[in-house]
Amino acid sequence: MTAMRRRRVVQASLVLLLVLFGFWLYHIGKGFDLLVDNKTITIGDATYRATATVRVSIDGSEPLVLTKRGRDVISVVGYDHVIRVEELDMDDEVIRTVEKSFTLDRHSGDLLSLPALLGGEENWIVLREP
Amino acid sequence: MKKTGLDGTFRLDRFLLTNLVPLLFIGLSAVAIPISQFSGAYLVQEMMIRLARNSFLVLSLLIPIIAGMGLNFGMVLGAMAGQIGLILITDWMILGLPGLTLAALIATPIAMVLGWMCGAILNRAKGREMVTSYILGFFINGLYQLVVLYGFGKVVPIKSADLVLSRGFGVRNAVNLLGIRNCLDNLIPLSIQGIRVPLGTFLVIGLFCLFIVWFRRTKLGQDMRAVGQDMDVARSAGIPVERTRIVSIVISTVLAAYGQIIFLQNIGTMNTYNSHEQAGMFAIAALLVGGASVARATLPNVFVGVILFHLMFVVSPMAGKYLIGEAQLGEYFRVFVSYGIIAVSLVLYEWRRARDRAYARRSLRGGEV
Repeated sequence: MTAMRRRRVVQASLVLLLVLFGFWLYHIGKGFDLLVDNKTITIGDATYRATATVRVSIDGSEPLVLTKRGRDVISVVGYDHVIRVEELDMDDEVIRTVEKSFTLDRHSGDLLSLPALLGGEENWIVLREP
Repeated sequence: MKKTGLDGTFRLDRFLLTNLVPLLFIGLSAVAIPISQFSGAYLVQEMMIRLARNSFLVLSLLIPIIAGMGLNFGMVLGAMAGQIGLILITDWMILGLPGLTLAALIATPIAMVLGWMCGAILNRAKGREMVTSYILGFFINGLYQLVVLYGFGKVVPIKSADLVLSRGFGVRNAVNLLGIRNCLDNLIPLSIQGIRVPLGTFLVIGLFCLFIVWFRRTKLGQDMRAVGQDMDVARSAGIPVERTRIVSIVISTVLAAYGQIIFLQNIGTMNTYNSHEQAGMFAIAALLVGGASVARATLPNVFVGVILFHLMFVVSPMAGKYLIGEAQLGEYFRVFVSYGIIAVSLVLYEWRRARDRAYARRSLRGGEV
């Protein structure tokens, strides 16, 4: 291999490495704005009623308290997350806690339906109509 | 800095002439600081933030000066490349340090192409590099506006409704960089006596300074110095003058792109169509305030310049308000100062050069010096 050819190979490898590095940065830094929703929802034939009060946190973030029909936004970074939902009674005591791992991608929705999650629905992450 | 005569004695007049601009600024600051009534802690905090925000941009000017190409007004080309990277990562929602790094990665090839183009043009305008690069900045600004105003959303897909104008293409005037705001500054949280130190950015600036020190000692750095001193002699010595000059501009443009990204992560908002315009002017003014000239600039010039120039920026509006009841006059003053200081430095440089030539001629003839 001539010196020039070797040089070209090294340069091409470096460019390829930088492109891969870019994809890796995209993967680890990708952010999502998730709508955390506590409204009654119908998925297929099943209807999930809104819960009185819930406390939600994703990946151990600052907990968010949502009353019935409440909705808020939580920003997350990366694709894999863990959501923790605590159902509260009138005295703000925890009745039930649900913790679930979920993975986001480009085609998954951005609306996290808490009633559906608490009701055991598999498709509790909903893709909103544009 | 030439502080001595040919016989090695200290000459006050030469010292004053060489350091006229920094001394002028120190004098102005000494008057303006007490009038502004700012506390010492406040000024230290402000200077800390502004050093972190601006130093990288100013440092990017050093390499073309080594290569004898003067002050690179074409650094705005790099700033534009950096902004394109920031627009894209904002649209893709890449947050934090990965977002910042990805913006730099995207900006790099754009800045390299723009820098190469700028260098090739400057090779055809030897001796008039500064004015050529200044006008080139305006030209590329037009292209940038065309791309961002019409290309983004039409040719380059932009999905975020927060970014695109309501007509469906073109980027909005203000881009919120909340996702990457202060991500480098706050990478290593440090506070001393209540003063927040942006240690992450300082580390990057420190690495850049080491790079410049190392670069000057490399073969390429020595070639650049030789080209800067005399192009004909360098060419005779076998140095590829044109290529070396292009490389110096490419490096400067790429570093300016990184500098603009660091600058905007500190600010947290990007003015899509204006942020880059003043980048070159203020960086050059800061470097000149630090005592640099068109032909000579050092690392201390950068830091002294940023501190003095921005100290003036901070105190002049308040000083204006307390002195004559008009804060706006202080604002006018600082814009006037930044343009004025460039003009004064250029005039002083030319005058000093003419005087040094006459001085050298007289000494060669054996006359009194």
